[in-house]
Amino acid sequence: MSDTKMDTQLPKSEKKPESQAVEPTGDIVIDVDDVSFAYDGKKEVIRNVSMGIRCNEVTAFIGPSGCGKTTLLRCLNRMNDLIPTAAITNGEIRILDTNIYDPAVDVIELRKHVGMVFQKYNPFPKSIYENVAYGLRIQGVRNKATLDQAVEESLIAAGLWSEVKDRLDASGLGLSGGQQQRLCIARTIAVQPKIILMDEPCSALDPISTTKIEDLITQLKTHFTIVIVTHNMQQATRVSDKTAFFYLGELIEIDETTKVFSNPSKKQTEDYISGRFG
Amino acid sequence: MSDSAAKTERPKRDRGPFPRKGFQILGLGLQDFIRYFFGGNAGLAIVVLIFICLFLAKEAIFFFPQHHHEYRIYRQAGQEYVDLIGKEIDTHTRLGSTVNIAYLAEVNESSTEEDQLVNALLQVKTAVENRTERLGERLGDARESMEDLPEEIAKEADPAKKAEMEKKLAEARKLEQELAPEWKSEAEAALDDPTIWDLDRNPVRLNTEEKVKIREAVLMAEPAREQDHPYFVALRESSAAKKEKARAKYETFKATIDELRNAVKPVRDLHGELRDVAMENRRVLDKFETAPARKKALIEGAEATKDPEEKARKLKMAEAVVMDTPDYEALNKPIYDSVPKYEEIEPTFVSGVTKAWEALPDPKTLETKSGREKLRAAKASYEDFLKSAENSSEKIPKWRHDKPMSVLKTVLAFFFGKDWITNSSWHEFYGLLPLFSGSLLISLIAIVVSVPFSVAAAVYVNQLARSQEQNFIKPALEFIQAIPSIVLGFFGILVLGTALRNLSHVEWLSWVPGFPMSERLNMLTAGLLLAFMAVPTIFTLAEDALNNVPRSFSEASFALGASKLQTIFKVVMPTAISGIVAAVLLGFGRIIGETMVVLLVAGNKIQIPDFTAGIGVFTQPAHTMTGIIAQELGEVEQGSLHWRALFMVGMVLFCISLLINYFAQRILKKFHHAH
Amino acid sequence: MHDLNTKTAPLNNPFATTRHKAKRTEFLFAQGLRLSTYFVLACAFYIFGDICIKGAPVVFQADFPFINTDFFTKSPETLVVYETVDGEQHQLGFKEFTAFKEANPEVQIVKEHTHSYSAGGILGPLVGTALLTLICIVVALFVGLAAAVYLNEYSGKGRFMDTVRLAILNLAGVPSIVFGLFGLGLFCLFFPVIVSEDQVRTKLAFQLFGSNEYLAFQGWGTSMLAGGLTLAVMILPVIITACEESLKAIPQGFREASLALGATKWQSIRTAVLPYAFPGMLTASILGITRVAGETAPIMFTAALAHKDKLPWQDLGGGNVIFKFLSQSVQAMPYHIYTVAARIPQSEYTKPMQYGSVFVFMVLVMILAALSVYLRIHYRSKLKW
Repeated sequence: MSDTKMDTQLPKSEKKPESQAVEPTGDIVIDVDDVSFAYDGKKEVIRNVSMGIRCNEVTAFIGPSGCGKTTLLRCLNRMNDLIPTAAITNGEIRILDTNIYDPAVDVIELRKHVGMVFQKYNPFPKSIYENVAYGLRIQGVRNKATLDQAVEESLIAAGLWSEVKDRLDASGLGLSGGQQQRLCIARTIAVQPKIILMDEPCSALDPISTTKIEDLITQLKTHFTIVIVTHNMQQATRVSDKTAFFYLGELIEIDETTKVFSNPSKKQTEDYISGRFG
Repeated sequence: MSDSAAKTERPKRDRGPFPRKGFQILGLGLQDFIRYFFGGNAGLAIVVLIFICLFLAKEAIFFFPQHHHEYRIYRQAGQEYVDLIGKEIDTHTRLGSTVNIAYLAEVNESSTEEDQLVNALLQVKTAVENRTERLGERLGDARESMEDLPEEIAKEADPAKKAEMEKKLAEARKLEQELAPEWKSEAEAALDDPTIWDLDRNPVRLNTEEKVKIREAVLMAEPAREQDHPYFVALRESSAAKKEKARAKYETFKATIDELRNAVKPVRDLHGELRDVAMENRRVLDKFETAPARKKALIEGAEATKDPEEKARKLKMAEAVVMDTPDYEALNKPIYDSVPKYEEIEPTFVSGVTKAWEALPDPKTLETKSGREKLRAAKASYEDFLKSAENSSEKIPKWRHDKPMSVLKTVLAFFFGKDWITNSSWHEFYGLLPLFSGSLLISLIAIVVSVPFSVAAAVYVNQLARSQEQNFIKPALEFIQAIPSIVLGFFGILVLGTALRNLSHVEWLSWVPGFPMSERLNMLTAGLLLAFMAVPTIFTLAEDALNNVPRSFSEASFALGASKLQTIFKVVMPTAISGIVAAVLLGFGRIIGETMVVLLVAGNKIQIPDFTAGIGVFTQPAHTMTGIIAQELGEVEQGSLHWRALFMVGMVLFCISLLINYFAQRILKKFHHAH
Repeated sequence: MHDLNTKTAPLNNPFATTRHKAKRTEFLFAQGLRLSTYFVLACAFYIFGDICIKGAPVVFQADFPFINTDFFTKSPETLVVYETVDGEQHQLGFKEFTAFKEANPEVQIVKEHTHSYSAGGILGPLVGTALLTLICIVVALFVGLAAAVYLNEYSGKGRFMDTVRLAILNLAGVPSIVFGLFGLGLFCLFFPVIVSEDQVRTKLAFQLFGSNEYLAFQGWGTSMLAGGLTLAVMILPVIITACEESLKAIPQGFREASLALGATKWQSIRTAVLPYAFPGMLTASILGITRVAGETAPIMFTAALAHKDKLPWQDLGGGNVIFKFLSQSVQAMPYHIYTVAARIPQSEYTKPMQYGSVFVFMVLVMILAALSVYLRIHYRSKLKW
């Protein structure tokens, strides 16, 4: 608890990673245990999914539309709480060994640890600087120097610094699509989450911007655990270490990306990646 | 779509494989006519707007020349000169009464306790008398005959009549025996009713002992046999004694006030004389100005009549109409002659007032709070007086009846005039300021009260409420929007006004500025009702603005670990702010144009609110631009200056509403472009 | 696997809340907003309640037929309160009182007070408001719908369109009293009438060919028609906007399908658009009626009068009956309430008339409002494309 507080207040470089709280690569940080989920309390859109997501890896969720991959992703930081009737109907999700649906969990604290990047880039109608500083400001950081540093580091980490450093006060909405999405990523990493969820982050972007984001994801995994939902199987092969294939609300298989794409163990997976449906 | 293409590429001769079918006139087909028909109806909105401008302007435009003309006569008749002196006297009168009020407060409040008790007794007594009215009257009649009849019987000679009278007397006695206890029990029943102790305009709280005393006193005051309760006799005496004492104490104060007030006498006499002169001048001038029109009417009338005798009579009358230009110089001679007299008495007047003013006691030495306040407030009146005296003595020697009246001045006299005086035999003043300030202040109250509520409701419904709650609150607010304004005005006049005034008399609220209110119908009452009216309007638009904030903004904020409150304040509200501002503007437009509520509830007193009262200014009555049109237009002659002035007020309202609308729409447009 | 309910030990819960104070603020804030929302509703409830409690006894009665029929079948008249020698107090309407005095000349009347507009009922004002509203809504719906069809179906972009939209927006913001002035200037004092020579009161009059009649631009005077049209102009923006909304809600596919089958533009609109827009138009017109019925300012100088003995259709005589009917002024509910609330001396005896009228009027308006809310919700859930 004390260290999470420090995380939020200290700029990124001086503080922690590799120290106590963070598990060495390979430990399971997200443990999805027999989870079912329904939007209306009755019809389950995810059924009995279990998986473990390891630290500092990129895990890709793939599968045809409506297979529940985005829903599961939004369960991981409880964004589904915004829909009144939606709820987990079975099982539990443990992040950092804590059941995140436990009443003792403050969803706001949870989201500080589990950031999210959306399908459609959505910077606030504020300046670039304010967009990145937003997360820190709402956590009560007032110190200008701290904010400046965090903004700069986040933008550097997001590969945007060189492009915007002269116009930090310009509106975030004035950037190109790819830049806006990278701004959103910078905004997310500025609060130093442990996990970043990405919901088809490149689906609204052109190929060049997509490449930049993909490079960025590969760089970011040294600091963060990343879960990415994608429609694009090439993207999954390019960026992810593990790939999970969903079909009709069920997890068909999860394994090393190379293995899933070269030698899937299930028939449905093979059909899907070979383009027979979806 | 298809037809517009067809129209532009209409083939000349060769009609091709797909020729246009149906009839055509001047190259226009049925479809075109349908299109123009619909378009014409849409264009009606523009036509109506133009017509509104036109018909307001038609009546309003001629206001200014006519107004200017009236002002010219006002000057030519010497009325302007007289009013210069009049203004000085007015400020002096105001000063005198302010000081006098301070004095009266000192004297009267010395015996407040006693007076309040006596007043309470009177109120309860009157209430009881009203309730037992019929019984009381009959009992009173019976008793009167019991007293009168014996004398008459003694005088009466005729035994038959005597016997009859004695019978009547016996009847009256019997009736009295019967009615007296009945009256008593009815009076007691009335006294037992707690509502009878709700004292109007009297904040005093009666304790049990006082109530018992009042009860006794009321019961002692039997019809036709009133007896004073010794307790109240004592109270009255003590009150009178205290007042006497206060009077004695402030004898010099009173003398100074009298001195101050009497200093005006010579000036007032002069003013009175000149006023008569100017009035007569005005009559002459008015007659001269209307002479051509009257002559024309008579001649026309003569031509129209067939009867030769009548015709001759009318022609003769037309002949008799005097068309000669009056001798302005001669008419104004008495006025010019008075200048030396004025210059002689003016300095003594001012010095007399100044001397008396300096002799007044220091406000600090007064005992009552209201006395001290009034005396302090008198300082402003005194300065006003000095200013106006200086102004008058400067302008009076230079005044000329034939100085041309500038057009600009009469235009400004409308927009910035401080008086709206109509139906006057002296001169009619049409100044917008009292109406405009009333409208503005009332709207201000309404907007200040309604914005927090409506924006709070919008945020609550849009961001926090569950959907069942939303489905209840939104239609409920729609119902409020449907309440006709006349119903709200009615509620204000019958319920809210009285309730607010009673509230304002509660002792522990006396710190609120403007409390206790003296008027039931005032700007505050009207403002509160308008605020209530504006809530649905502002709510709907503000909620719309909040709804238009993209969902992805709040999602992004939540994903960064922001709480609901942080998201509302840091993301949703800043994004929606321009929409909310537009909502408030449109609400303001609706409030300032509202008629019935202000007409019924604002108090309809044409005056510029007295801003020296601070925030308490809001509890004064006022009149409004919308209210004045509704109230006066029905009663004025079509085409008269007054009629035109009212249309002019309508024009001002129209322009204000267009302006507000324009800004609101611009803001909204920007807001929608941004998202 | 521990079950869902086991609490994770607080010590190693990295997501335990650190914001107890913030949470309380948040809760208090939400409740504060909620309170102020419900305060507004409570005010509304109080106003309704007050008027219902004081007004219902006037309208309803304990015995059959449970409704005070006189209140709905008579027009307002002066109330006479008098006392006979035996000290009894009676109340009668002025007409009845005169008849009573004539019939019983022997009765001695001791005291006599009159209270204007306090007796009788509200038939006249009800009828007047109904007629005004009817004229208004017929005109406004016709023009409004046509304009909406143009705006939504025909118009492209352009200067004309921008001007029209701007005009509609601005028209919506003009105060109702200004519409009253406009109606007075245009309809009552300017619009042309056909009159015989001796009735011409203006220079702007033209003789009609081959007759003694003149077309005179002298206005219709204070009349039902002038009032109805003034209200129609006032409500136009509301109707146009509402009709346009309902047209917009119809999927583009309907029109395209119809056009693709070879229908003309007008045929498509008539058969594939307007029928489906009907519910929306109905809601719009009820909304319009609700607004219009309650307006006082626009009819004050154009149509309303406080007292009238006859109903509009009585005693029209011969000649041009329709014009005579439309050109008379009428009583109207809001104006009647204004009269009894503010223009006559107040006394105990006027209270029943005041509260009775306001109660009936408010209930009528609320029923209309409820109907429009209901229809909107009903059709929204029913018509989904």
